[in-house]
Amino acid sequence: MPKRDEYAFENILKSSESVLEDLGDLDSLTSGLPEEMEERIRSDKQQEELESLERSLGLKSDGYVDLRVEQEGMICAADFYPPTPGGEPLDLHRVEQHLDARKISFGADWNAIKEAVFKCNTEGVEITDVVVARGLNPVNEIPQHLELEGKYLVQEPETEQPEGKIDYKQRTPFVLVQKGDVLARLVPPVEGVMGTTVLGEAIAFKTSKPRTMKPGKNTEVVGDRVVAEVSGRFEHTPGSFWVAEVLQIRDAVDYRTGHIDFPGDVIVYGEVSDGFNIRAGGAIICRRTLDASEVVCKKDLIVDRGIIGRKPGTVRVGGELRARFIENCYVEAEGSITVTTGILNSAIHSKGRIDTDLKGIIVGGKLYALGGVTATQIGTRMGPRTEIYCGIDFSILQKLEWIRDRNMELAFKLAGVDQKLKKDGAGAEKLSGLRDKLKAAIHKLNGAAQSLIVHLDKQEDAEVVVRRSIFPGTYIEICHVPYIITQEMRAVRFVLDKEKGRIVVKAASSGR
Amino acid sequence: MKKILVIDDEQMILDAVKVILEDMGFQVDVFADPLQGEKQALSEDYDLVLVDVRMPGKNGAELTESILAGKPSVKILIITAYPADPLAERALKAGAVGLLKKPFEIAKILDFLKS
Repeated sequence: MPKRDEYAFENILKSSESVLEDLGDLDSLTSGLPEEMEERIRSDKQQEELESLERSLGLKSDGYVDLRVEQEGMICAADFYPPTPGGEPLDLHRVEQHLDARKISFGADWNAIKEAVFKCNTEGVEITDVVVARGLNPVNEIPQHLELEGKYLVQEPETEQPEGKIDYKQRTPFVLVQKGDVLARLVPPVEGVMGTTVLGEAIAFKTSKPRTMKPGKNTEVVGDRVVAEVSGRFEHTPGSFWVAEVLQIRDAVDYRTGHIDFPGDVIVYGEVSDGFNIRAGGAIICRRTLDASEVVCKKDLIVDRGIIGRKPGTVRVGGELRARFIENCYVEAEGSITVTTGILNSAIHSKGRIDTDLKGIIVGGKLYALGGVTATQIGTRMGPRTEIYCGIDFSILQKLEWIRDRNMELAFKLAGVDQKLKKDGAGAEKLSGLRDKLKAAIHKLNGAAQSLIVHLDKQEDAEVVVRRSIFPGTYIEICHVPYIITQEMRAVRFVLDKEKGRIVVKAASSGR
Repeated sequence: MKKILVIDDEQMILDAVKVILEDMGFQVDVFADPLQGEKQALSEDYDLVLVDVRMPGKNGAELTESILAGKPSVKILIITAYPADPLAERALKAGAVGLLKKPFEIAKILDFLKS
């Protein structure tokens, strides 16, 4: 039998026996009350009636105490009455007798009783509502359970800038956690303790049922803690908590969300407003228009509507990119790019292919596609310049151009030093030293360029396919071999003739 | 050692390109005067000739035509800021093998020297 039940059982046993003992032999009750009991009843009643009469008639009466048990046996309150002239003052013995008579056996506050008796007798005033005994509340049993770290239930404070302004773009309602962060702790069990009423009756304790928080996906139990197994968004319901690798933004990305920087996938159901950045360790799926200020994802970017570039906006995609259209945008994608309606005045870079759907056009800007380009129309009769570069890895070209620019700067400086040396020879020693350093730097950069070129894989079978029309003003280059469109051409494809080192034009249907 | 001739009316760029390409191990001759450059191209054998498309006196398209008329096998790369420049287009028609974005593109130079 559990401890608390044993205790309750004993208590009931004792108190019941005491009552029974007080009543005496109950078997005799069948033939009427025993004589001594009748006498006792009569005597008690007589005393009570007399006291009552004395009080009402202002006759002489002793000091007395009136007890009452309240709050389901947890409190015994008393009113202390002083004696009338000639009456006996109250004393502790009489109070004790009264307490015994009322079966108050637990939690007597003798200090309070002494004080009340003293005041009542000496000042001759009634002292009422004195708590003379208190029961003991039971302590509830609490089983072992998990408790979330407080910070995961509270909104992060606003980000303040040094000048005291709040950068609302930095605010986010998303609680992001890093791998290894402690999310919850195991709270040890609390043992239950029985309570007692002032009548000495045992009160059983209850067992609390704390909210059970089960650790869910991407969490790990380490000792008495639950930690994040991955970096992501902390999410919880009343019964569970987990780390989500997908961030779903039901509305727009704007001042309400701030910039988004999430280690997993991000799904945005609203528009992404101008000036707000999104960075994702996974893919980004945007259900509406993307006003691209800075969009960076390590996996795919899928935009149901279009991508509109905002200077100095950039879009960098680790995987493939799909959108209805791309306009005025700088885009880099490790994979292929597919658009439905068109690409307008954009700088698009892909290490795969750039393709449009059957109605797709490419007008203006520069396109770099390692694997080639397919579009229904390229350029227009108005002749905006459209440049298409295929068969070369754009990222290596960018590095080579950077090296070239630095080398040009160094070479200009070198020319200046040479001129100075020729002119007057002043500080020749220092200038010679500088000259050597400049030449060494150029040499190092050239070395870097040459090692990069080793990795410049060319895709010589890359081609440009035009389903309908391509217009003058368009420039095509496949593996460094150029072709300038000088007249409208229809349903053609441009392929590299490796033998001749020239681009040749074929009918679009004769291949793809 | 591969020989490169560069003809460009901007002396500063010419000097810088010479320093960089020489450091890469090429023999580089440079001419700011297109007519002198043309003369040099016709009198010596070069593996590659880089010609700026817009120069006073004689433009890159005319130079390409005259150089290739005298030395049909020489590889000429046209230096231009705009690939769709009509003069660049004319030079390509005349037989230039490629276009270099100003001031030059090392990947293309190495590529055309190799092929």
